[in-house]
Amino acid sequence: MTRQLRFACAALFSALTLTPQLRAQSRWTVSFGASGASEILHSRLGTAQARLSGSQFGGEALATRGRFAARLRYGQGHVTSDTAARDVVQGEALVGYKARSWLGLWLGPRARTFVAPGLSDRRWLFWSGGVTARGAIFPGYLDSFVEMWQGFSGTLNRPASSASGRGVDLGVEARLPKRRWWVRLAYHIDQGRANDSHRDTVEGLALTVGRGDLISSAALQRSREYPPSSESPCAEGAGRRAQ
Amino acid sequence: MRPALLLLLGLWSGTLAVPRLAAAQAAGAALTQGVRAYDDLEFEQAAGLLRHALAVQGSGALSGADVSRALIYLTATELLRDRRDSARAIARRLVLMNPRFRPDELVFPPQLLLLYEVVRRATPAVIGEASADTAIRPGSEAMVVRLYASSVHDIAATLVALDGHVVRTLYRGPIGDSLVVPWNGLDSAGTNPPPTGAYALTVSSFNRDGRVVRILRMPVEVLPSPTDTLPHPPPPADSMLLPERQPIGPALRVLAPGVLAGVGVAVLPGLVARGEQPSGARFAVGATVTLASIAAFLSHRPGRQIPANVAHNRVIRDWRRAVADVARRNAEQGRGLIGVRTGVPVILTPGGTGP
Repeated sequence: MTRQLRFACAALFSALTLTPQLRAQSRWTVSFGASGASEILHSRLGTAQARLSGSQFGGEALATRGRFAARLRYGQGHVTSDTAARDVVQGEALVGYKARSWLGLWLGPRARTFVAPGLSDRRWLFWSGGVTARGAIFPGYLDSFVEMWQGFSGTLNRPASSASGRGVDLGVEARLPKRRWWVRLAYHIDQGRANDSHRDTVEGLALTVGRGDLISSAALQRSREYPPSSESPCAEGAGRRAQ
Repeated sequence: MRPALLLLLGLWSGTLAVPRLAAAQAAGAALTQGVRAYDDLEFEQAAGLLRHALAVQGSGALSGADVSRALIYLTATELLRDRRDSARAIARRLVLMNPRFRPDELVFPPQLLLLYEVVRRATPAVIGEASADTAIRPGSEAMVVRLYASSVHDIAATLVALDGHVVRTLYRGPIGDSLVVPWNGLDSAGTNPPPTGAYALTVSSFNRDGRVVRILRMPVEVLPSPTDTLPHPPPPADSMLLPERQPIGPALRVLAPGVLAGVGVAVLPGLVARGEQPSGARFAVGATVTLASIAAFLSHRPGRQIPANVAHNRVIRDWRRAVADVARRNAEQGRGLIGVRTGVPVILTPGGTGP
């Protein structure tokens, strides 16, 4: 674990333990969602490059309490080209803090594994930090969001080397009036690099349907009308899958 | 227990109320009995009853007219008891208290009338009357003070400040039965009204030797010009102006996230994935967000009139206009006016000067 990562973890731990809002927290709220995405993988190794495309399906869970949140995502799919095919498995486990009604901070590991027949798995693992900005378009019904993350440290297992990575999600999130269903349309792109000679870039268009107290513009409105101690889940991004 | 308490309460309140009532009735009754005793030639008894009636003070005391009546009867009683000095002193007291008083010639004997006339002539005094509260335009209007004299004598009427300096000499000369003294609201220079504040109108009565034997002192207060003679119209229930057009701020707030997200879709993938050419699929999301935010912007209809608020504001503006109009008219009416308030006059006798 690098010095930056230790610092980030310490900062988050301090925020979790010292903030007075902890006392005002009310209850846990949980949201679940299922997603389907169209994925494109751009893989470069030296001068060789490949473009594979396919689909991916997954699920996510978001738990929030006051300003704090935890997010789990998992997905797996299959990408192919004319000459190659790979299975993709990816996931993330993040903890978050809602610094403002429109701004959330995330911290945690993201991983993605490519499985190719006859070859050992190639796995990217990043300890990352990210921010999510959110704005209401039709308050209570439709929000837009942007989430960007950067890896503090990362590894690639084959060939074994350190890695760097970053990514971005953008999209809209709609809620059905007076119901707890929500729909998210998002575009995501992220890239992992190892020794400048090897990089995998994954982009995709994802549609997620979920149910529960997901962050929404209604929650944003509540947090604008009332002090932030009110129940309002942490902002979260959508659609992208961790490497 | 309860009836006993009520009885006790009744007795207690009766104890408080009865003496006051009795005193008031006693003064009037004593006067009536004294007059009756006088008519019955019971002078000793009449004198006692009349003195008793005059001695009552406070709320049960005799009225001004009854005091004058009691004094003249007491004067007559003392005269008929052959106590002329006492009769003269009582008559003098009556003159000072009420210079306008004249005994009824049909009721009292000629010797009483003669004595009172002699005392009245020898006791120069003046009483004054003026409006308790008025407003004048200095220089062009005047407030008047009516002076009533006990006898013909010389007087000097002046308006003085509380520190004693003369603000304006209003009159100097003889007074017969009565005299009207006007004051035009200006100071001795005749140019400006005196500063607002407390003053006194003093009327000095002189004897034949030219010495001041009596001073009438009437408090006078000069006030700023009275304003708001016209009442302001009642305010509407809500006097806050409301926006008449849909503000553009909320519309921009819903437009900005979509536009920024649209721009982000175009720019950010290139920054994140260096060396790669992101696909055009991202523009589908960017266009969705941007179009949604444009629709949200248009749904707010920025700049469009809000009829209810327009009507609400019209009422408030009419009210404000009416208030301003009333204020202007009040200012015009009050321009150049001063208020004058007078108090109850008192007659003072300088020590060792007067009969």
